[in-house]
Amino acid sequence: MIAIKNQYFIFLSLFIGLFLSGCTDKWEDHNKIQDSILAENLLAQIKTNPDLSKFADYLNKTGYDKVVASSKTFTIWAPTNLALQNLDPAIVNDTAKLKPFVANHISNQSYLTSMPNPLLTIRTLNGKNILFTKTKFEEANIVTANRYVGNGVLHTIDLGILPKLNAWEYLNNTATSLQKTFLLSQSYIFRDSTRAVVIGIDPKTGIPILKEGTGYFPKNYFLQRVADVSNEDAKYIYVILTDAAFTAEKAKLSKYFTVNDPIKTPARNTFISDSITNWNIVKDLAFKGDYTLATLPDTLTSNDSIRIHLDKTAIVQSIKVSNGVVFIMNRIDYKMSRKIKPVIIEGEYYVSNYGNNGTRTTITRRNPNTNVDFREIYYYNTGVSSYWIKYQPTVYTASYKVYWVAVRDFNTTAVAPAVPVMFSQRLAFGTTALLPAFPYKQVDILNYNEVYLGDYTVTSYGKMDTFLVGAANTTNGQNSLVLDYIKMVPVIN
Amino acid sequence: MKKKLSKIFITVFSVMICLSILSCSKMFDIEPKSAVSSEQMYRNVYDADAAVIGIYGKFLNVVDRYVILNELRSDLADVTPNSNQYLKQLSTHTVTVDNPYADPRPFYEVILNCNDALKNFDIMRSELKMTEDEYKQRYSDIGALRTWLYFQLGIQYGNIPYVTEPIENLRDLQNEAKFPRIGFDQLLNNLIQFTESLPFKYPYPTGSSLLSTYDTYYTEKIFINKNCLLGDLYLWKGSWTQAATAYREVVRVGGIPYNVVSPGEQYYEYYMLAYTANTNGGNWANIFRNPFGERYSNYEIMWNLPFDKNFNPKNPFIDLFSTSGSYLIKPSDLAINNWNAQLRNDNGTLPGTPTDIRGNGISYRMVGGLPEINKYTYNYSPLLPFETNGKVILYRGANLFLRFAEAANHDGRDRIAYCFLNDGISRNYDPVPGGGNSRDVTNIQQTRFGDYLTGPYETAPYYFDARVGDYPQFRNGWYRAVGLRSRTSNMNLAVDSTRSFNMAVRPRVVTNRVNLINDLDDLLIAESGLETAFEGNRWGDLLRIALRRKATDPNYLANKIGAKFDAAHSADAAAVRAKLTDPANWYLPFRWK
Repeated sequence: MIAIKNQYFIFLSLFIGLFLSGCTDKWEDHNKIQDSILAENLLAQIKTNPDLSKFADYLNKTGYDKVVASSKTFTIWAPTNLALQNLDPAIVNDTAKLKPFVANHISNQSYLTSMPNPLLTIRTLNGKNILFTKTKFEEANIVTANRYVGNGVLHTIDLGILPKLNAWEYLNNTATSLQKTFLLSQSYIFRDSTRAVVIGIDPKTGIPILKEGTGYFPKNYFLQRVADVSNEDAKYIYVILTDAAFTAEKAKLSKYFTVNDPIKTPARNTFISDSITNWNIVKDLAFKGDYTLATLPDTLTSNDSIRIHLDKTAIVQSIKVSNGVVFIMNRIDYKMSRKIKPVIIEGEYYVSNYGNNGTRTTITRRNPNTNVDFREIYYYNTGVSSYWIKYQPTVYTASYKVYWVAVRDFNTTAVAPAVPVMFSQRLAFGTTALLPAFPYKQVDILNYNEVYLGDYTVTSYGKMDTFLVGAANTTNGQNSLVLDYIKMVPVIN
Repeated sequence: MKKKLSKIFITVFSVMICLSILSCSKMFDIEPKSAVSSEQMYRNVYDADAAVIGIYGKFLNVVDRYVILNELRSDLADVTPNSNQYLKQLSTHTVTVDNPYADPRPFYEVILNCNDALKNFDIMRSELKMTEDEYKQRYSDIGALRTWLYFQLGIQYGNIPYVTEPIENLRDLQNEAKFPRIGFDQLLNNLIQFTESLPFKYPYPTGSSLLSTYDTYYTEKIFINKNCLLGDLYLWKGSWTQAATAYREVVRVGGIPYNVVSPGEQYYEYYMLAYTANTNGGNWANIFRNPFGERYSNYEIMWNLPFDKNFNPKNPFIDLFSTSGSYLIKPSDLAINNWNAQLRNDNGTLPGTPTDIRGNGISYRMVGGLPEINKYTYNYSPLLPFETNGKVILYRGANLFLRFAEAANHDGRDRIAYCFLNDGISRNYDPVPGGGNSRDVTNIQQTRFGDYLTGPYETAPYYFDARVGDYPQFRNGWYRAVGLRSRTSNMNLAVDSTRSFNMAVRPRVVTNRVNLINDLDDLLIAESGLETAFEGNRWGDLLRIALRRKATDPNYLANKIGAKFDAAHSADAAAVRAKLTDPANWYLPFRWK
């Protein structure tokens, strides 16, 4: 009986022990915020720091105080009061200017100084990218780092960083120049119906009715077709020529881009020539790549694959912009033969032909000398005298040396003593009258080389009708046509 | 206390006795309802048939392993970024003991099933449960399948235990004391001896109960072709004439059903690499694309097995190869380069369009910029993920004629080898190829030894009659045979004659037979890569040549496999080359965990 009592006692005491210990909430302890700073948000943290009072004031002015007090996560690189004391009063007193300045110091997400390896490119709230290393924020040094609060990280820095312009914004902010005038003339307003406000549907046509004044966006042909130097996420070298240099370029290039269209007035022709020349200058002034003046390579390749040498002595001014670097230059260097490239006309890419006669095939072959595959057009059994195939290359105003590659590897054998029947073809320019033309040239068997045909002078820049003309013979086999490509090499003086 | 203990003891003891007495009755010994016990198996020929079909069903489980080992270890298939370390090990020849792909046990499982069946067939025969003919056919079939499995094991592992009796524990196979291993040469001898001793070397004859339709699949081509196997064994052994004879027998026997009074298409085309439009040019894809048992692909296929979407095992190749599956194995850059380097014969005697028809679009295809092995997944679409029917081809005409050509080449018949590699007998034993059907062709268009116009006529197995004429009309057996390259519209390939012929006299006289044989072998192996890539032949092809040239060209295998890594610009190239210069590293380790 005593034993039983003892057991009962032990159970009871255990039970009580458990009950008592259960009164403390272990999970509560475990989850509780130990570091009181984590209960604070960034705004509160900045406000408690007397050294950041100016920045706190700017946050307040621009409305960003509400943003950084929100429950999203941010990183703030806050300039100290000392750093902000020399800030231009024009910025401080103009909220519209102050806003991008403040936003330039705030980003989404948490970034600690341990993260850059060696550097991070971070987009700030104003849409500009900044560089963050273990010790620097753009040009500023990090004074105190990695203050971790409830909604992000706070660093303090010793310099206020003004948002930089990108290359396109920089150009727009420079004084009027020939280059700027031309580029701005390439701007237009584009209406994107998918981004316009729809206010109803036309009951007759079923087409949406768009609210006037919505969906309009500025666009620019240069940005679309050559290089989008307004893009913050790419890096460019952008060259702005001084007016003297631009004029010099024009003097060099204009003769290759002269339009002499007889159905247009001379004034109109001059205007078009001028515009095309300008375009051909600016199209090779933007280069992709992240370079500085120090790391500038000897040769850069433009979007149009033209190799340009940027001579350091010709750089008048070098400006760091948010998406690369802008050089203002008084000269650029290149070989004219690289800029005015040979015109290659591929045989299989014709625009029209005489008519639906004979058989047309595109054959693929391997050049045994180079082991490179090529395709050529082969037209045969047309039964038509002087059958033609038309091409429409864009040509410069220049004299050309004209070549073709026409590989005949068909019907090469004939039963002896007969020899293979040979055929000739020629090139003609201009009109379907097929004049002017080169003389007929026999197509040799298995000739993989470029065959020189003659010289031809183009008097007007633009699309030129070019014809491959068969023999003046209706006998099939003697009027075949074959062409890998035509090459027109401009003569550069 | 003592009393109490003894009481307990007595109680427990008595319960135990009760239980042990009860268990003597067959209380728990219930006959299984979903499986057949050994006493009920092997009672008549239909049971034997079930055993044969069952073993082939089991065999289907190792087919993917056969393809993976043979392709990934050689030069035409490569790993992808998805591949696991074990597949990479196969590719770089650095296989570790725990590599599941290199575990030989799945092969042995089928072998043990074969052993068991063979033993029971013997018992059935002695108990007169099968007729003598039925016994011979089934015994030979399973015997040949076991031989094929051992042959594969020999090719992959080199030294292996050759076990022909049932054993209990597969783990014991690692014990060399219990199961001594034999070398590959010894294995080949044993296998040849065993295969030659098989009492029946032909396909199941018409009327056999095994020629039937199981689950919509007609069984004719699921069984191993014994003469193909025998030919391969002799080829590896270097017995050229026997190899050629066995291969020729495959063609003769395959054509027997079509030896009728007025010969039709099949008479001229069955197993003969003929010019039928159904498998020529771009239609070469039909061999792989057409469903199991389809008529024209059967002119080419000698042995294949179906994968059905409704039955196990599931088609393993879709997951392995398809970019919509796991995409574990892809065509190597070298394989793609090889196809791209070919020129077609669409421009007369001059080089025609570049690239081989068999490459992009048939053997492999590009899916979203990724090359994908296509031979097994031709009909698979990710839009219909459950339509996984397919087939795996284990032997076909191209294998046979390439190997026949190899044997003929070594047997002094380089011209016949050239014919089957390129464009057939008819054109090459004719001074005016394509000269029309109204000529006197009495002495041409058929194989002759030595000078092809005046030499003595060949005898078996090298006599091929390809004569054809009109007025009177006659068509002899081989007139439609076109050769491999011409079948898929490729230009002929020739050896560099200056290396092996005296170029000063006509007819040309061979001055260096060794060069001629080696050069032609190289062409045949290259062609085998273009024609039969990804079908599980490659490692065997390369190893066979490597073993043959061990003394004269010890780095053959290292260079061949190294080229795959060179073409892929892989950093592993040097390591793989170094590894394969040692013949000990040509084989997988016969060990497992």
